[in-house]
Amino acid sequence: MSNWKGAIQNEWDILWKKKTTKFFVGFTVLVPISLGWLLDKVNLSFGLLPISSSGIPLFTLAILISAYLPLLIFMLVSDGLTFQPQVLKAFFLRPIHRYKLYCARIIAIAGLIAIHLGLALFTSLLSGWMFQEWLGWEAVREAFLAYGLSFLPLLLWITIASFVAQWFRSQTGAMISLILIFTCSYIFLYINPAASAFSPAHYNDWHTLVSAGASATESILYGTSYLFSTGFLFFLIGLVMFERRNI
Amino acid sequence: MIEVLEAKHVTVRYKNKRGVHDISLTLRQGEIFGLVGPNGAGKTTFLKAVCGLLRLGAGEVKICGQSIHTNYEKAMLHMGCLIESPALYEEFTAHHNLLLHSRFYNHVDREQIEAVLDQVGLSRSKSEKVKNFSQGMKQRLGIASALLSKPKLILLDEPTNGLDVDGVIQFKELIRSLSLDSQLTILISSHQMFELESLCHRVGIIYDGELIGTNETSDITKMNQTLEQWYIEQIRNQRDDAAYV
Repeated sequence: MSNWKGAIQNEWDILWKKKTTKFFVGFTVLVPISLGWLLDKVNLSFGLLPISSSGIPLFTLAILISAYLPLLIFMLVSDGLTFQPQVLKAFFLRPIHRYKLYCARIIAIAGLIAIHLGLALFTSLLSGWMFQEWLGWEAVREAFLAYGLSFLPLLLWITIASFVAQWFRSQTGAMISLILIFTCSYIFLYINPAASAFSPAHYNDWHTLVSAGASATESILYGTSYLFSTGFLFFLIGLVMFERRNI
Repeated sequence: MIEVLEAKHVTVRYKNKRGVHDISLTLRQGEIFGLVGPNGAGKTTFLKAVCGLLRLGAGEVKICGQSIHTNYEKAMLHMGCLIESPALYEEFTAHHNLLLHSRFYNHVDREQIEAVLDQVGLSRSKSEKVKNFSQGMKQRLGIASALLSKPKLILLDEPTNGLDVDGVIQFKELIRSLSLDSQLTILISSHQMFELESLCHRVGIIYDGELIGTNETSDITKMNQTLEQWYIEQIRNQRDDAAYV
């Protein structure tokens, strides 16, 4: 077995073994189902329908990307990538380069986040269909696109969190700092709207730009380059710090 | 004789100026080498430098001819380590812990995992979660993890920590048989002089970050000395030299 494959498989095993991982997967499935059920009840009781069935996947996505998935990312990263010698030592003494271990951890976390998005997409489509009506293939295509595109800003948050985690020895310290950075990046949007494009939080709902189509071509190009370049930069700095650790 | 470990002029300096300075050591195949020294002398630092946990300030380490610096993966294929306390995942069973490690080697299969668990006397507890293990059981699992890949060299840092009397006896028998039957080279650091005296072919003293002396254990006993007496003499000479300077 190549050590790449072994490392990713190990990280996946370690992630999946945690009770919190299973709990949050369950929660992600429950969000769209309860949302569909709630809308159905509101509709029956008051004759009002604040969100149509086609809106359930996008409304669910808005809930996920605004805070829930970033917080989950911070929890996973601060657990797996902070400088805890006893945890790191387990695989540092094996025939595998550290950069492969770092990448394997990021790939495993990114994989889990992709699963969360996939599950949320599937259950939100199902929820809309069950509690309201079939939303049509065009809405399904839009939902797929929106969920797929939302993965990119989340990937950026993973690389930022992995970089920040390198400065901490404890999970709690890293988690608190990441929450503060996340909050500040949102506050920055309101304090300085002119420079909001430099805040990662600005791209959390990046999929809406793409859904807007050709009218936003310039913004799409700028957003794409920002997401990739910033993500790559944080990934590289985090990797160098991880590589140079003395245990 | 094949040289399994070649450490040349190994130097590591911590920010507090401690560490190890200019240590050179060569170990031959099948040899058991014991490292002794006071607390903070640099035994663990030297072992960590050999296995790549610490970056070298100067010097070079080769395992079976492969440099730990330039050919890390190939060098580590030949080495098993137990440094300080064993690094284990508490939520996993003993078997699963070894399975995680086995994925980095092409030649380690489930039979080998069972074999090392049997070697360290953990076969009956292989399906128990590590969080329910005693300190001694964790130490045994750490030793199993070091032996897993059938390495040519193993580094053991205070390996009998937490082991009961039976565990220590079993451990010594295991080390002897590995050296004799499998021609495994073993580098052990310990405070237990009696243990090293009965186990090692050669011993070395690390004092204040330097390797101040090495000797064959048979030569020490030929001089009608115990390892402890030889150790005290060497340390005293070193202190006298330092005072004289």
